[in-house]
Amino acid sequence: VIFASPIFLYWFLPATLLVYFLLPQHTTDELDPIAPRTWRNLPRWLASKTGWLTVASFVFYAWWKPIYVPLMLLSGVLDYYVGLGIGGAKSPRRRTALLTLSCAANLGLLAWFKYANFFVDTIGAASGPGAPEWMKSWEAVVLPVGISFYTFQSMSYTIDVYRGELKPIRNLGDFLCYVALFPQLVAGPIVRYADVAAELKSRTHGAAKFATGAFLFMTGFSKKVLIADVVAPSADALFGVVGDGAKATAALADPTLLEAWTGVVAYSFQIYFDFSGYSDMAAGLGLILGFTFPVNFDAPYKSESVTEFWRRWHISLSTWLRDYLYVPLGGNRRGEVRTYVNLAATMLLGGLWHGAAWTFVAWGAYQGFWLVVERAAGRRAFYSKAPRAARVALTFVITATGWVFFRAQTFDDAFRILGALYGGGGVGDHLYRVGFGAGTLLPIGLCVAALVAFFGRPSHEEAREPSLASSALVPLLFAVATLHLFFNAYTPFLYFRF
Amino acid sequence: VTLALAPILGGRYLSGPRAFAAIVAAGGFGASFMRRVEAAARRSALLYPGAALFLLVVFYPPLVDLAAPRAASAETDGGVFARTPLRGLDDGPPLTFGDWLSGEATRRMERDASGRDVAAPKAAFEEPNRLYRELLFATFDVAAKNVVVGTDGWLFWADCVRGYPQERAFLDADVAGRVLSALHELCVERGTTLIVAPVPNKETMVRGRFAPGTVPPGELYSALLGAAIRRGVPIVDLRPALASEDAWLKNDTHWTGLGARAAARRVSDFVRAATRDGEPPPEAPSSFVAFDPILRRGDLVAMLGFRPGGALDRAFHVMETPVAGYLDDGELAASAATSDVVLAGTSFSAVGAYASLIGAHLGRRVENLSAPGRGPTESLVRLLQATASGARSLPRVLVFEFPERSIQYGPRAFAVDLALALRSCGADPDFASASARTLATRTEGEGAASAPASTRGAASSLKGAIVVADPAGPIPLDGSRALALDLEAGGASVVEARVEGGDGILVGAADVAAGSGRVFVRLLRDDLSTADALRLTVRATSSTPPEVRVLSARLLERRP
Repeated sequence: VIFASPIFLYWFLPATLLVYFLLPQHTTDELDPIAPRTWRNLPRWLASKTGWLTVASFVFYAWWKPIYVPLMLLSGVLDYYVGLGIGGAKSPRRRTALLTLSCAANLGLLAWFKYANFFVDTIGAASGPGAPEWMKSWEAVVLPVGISFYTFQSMSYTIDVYRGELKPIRNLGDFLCYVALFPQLVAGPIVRYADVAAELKSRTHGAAKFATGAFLFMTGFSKKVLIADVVAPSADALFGVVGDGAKATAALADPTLLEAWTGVVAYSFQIYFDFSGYSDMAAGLGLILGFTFPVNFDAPYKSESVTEFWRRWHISLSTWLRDYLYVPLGGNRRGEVRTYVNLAATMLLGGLWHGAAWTFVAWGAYQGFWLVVERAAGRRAFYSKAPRAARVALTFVITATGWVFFRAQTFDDAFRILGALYGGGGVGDHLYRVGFGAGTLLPIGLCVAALVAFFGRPSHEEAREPSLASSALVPLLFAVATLHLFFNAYTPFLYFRF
Repeated sequence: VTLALAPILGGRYLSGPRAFAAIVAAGGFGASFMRRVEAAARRSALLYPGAALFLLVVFYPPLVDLAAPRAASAETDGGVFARTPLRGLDDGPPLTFGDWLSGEATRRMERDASGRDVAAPKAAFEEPNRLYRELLFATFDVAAKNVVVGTDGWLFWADCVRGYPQERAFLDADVAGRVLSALHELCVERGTTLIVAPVPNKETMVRGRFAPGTVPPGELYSALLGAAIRRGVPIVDLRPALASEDAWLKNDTHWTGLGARAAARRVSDFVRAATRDGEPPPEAPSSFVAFDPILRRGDLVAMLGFRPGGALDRAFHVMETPVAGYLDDGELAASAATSDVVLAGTSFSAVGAYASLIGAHLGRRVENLSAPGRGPTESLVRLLQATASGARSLPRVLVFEFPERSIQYGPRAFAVDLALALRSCGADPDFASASARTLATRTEGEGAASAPASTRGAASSLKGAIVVADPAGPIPLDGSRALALDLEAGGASVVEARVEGGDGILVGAADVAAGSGRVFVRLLRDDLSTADALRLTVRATSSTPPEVRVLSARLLERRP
């Protein structure tokens, strides 16, 4: 289920909330199927808020393809017992072996479901007609929704237990609730177990929490429907759309400078408002259900450098990569060169995490390059003396240029668009091909997106300390957004009216 | 936001810098007022009204929807939307366990087969949604996705303006051409004069009425004509007749009475030339009548989704003068009692007076099989099915009308049903203009003795078959050959012909109508092997075995 859909908004969400608030609070009994007699606690757990939330989350996940539920269950149950095992193990070797098992299982799932196609395609393309037979008859593996998130989450749990930063949980139900928690299941933020450990045991609900959560959800919903979806057609026109049949379109063959910048800026806003909108919705739903999720976006386009951008963009991923990849690699403690190598490696893998394609790797490399450059330049960065507005603008241009790799379907497309961005395709004198023209909300969408992205307060701050304007405007925008959701969907269909 | 919107709103509803200043000043006063309220209120309390609205927006629509009577919802949506997600489960074939695992069941709760949302609680959104549409249109000129608003009140159907990959035009036209070619061959065989008369898209004919930057595609119609002409299919180019703006309704996807009349003239000229019925009689003024103008809402206006009868809706209504053609008593008597000219078409033919206008030009009655809202080929398919079952025969002249736009939705919309219907008449688009060779047949054992369908799968127990062999050598089973059999199968209602290779493995099957008829079996096996001889058996669904005789067997070979 996606949040901005009628099935979620009008059926799943009200039903889940209604039952959730009717049920009693969580019990703190143990629920460990291997321990003797704790299964007797199961009915009580199922009839508690946490039990219901777990069931609802699994229904939420199963909505897409129920056949993939066992994968998530496998990852969750395995990590639960690995956590217990590590907690109870005396010898360091046993602890390390268990951790290796957890990481191998999770990364193995990820490798198979996310990267097997990529691997086969790459090798197959490299070896041409001489590719092995099984590669030629390869049937693409379907990527289960959310697998990148839940494997990272449950892995973070075992690593933290291994490091001694966490005590292992003794309630399988609660742990599955954490793994499957529907607000953050499909698009993050990557919630670490430590973030919600206390709230899984006991959490409070109240009018203020509910109101703040609803505010965040409404903010995110409006961002997604009224900004991201409105500016998307421009990016789609420039980059093309992957799809089946008539829906698929190719990227513009000869974009001009104006068209390329319009499409790239539109995509920069689309991905930000879409992704941060989802994070806001997740945080809002979490708050309504009594959980506090980490902040995931902190007005990233206001950053004055790429380094700062990565402190503000998809924070839960960048901190995850920092704590579980960059630091174990040695971080910045092993000298200048090693630091650069670590930075670049982290960004490369971060790029690959976003999607299994070389274009994502290129995007990671591009970001890593700028991080290294900025680190090497240190405080003497060549643009550090420029006024703040110029630094923000420059950072935005660097980031937006990077999105070309992220969004383009092929390197050919990417380099053609990059060429156009920097003058290779002529200036152009109209924007019709990137969605402008009569009867479109695109120009207004782009203006509002720019205003909010460059001047607006981040939504988590606004929710903590709302202004009268936002507290009045956001619910109104939410109501408009629900109507807008139907604007194009709710049309009498004419196919059978020939 | 106020500052950003001020020039837009100010420019639209107010004029001059004073209006701009007023908006900015109002924003300033508003801001100072807000600061005072914020200072006075507890911050989190500011969020409570919003939370109440959130609860209202999320809980109210499903409750209203559950309470609304099913019939009302079905009526407003044309019956295509399920009222609750669970209703969608009944839509389509029964669900299997596998469907639940694969997500098909949940998909059905959310979307129907053509991708429309069935989970939205429509009852509560009916009015707000219409108001929102009106608001968006009034403020930003933004119309529903499937309507493109042109200049001077012209409306167009978005599917025909954008969103169609041009490189597909030739492919789609070619598929259509193949089916039309099979239809043409069938008609030639049965002594019928076929006239294919596709209606061009309004969007490609009225090109001067688009806002700058909109360029509707125009290659499909030419591609269609080319695909048909290449195959010798008689096709009428209606573009010259419909080039004038008068031929099209401003607010509808269809033509005006004038357009229908011009098209009818062109089609009947074509019919007369094809049937060599002589010079057209001088057009008598009494043959046409113009009625009083009527107000027309238009299908595109309905698609805009404004409140019916509201100011915005009415702004798009247009006056139209309906035109009809009629035959005087003398002409009627002269034309046969049962018409020998049949028009099979879509809403273009069904709603206006197209058929009567063609009739007036030809001087004979035209039987109109067209039905609106049933898809581009439905009326023709029904005619072919009736022909296949022997209920009627093909007429002397068949005029087939369909809109150009029906081609662009791919084979599913245009070709598939028609191809199946053609196949039931013994014509196959894949084997149109194929080379044919008559084969030798001999009866083996007790002949093509048949078993009732209840013993399906027991064909091997039959004691005979009709053996078909090609004296020239083995028959390839790679799909490039087909068997066209003229059968006489009496004594049973529905029968099935099965063709097996020498080793008893099925290579093709087809349904056979009772009585005599053409059966078309494509010969294909997974291993693409060959067969020296083919064994034909025929089985019935009724308990009485049919009497089967093969009148002729021909082997068709597809041209590469």
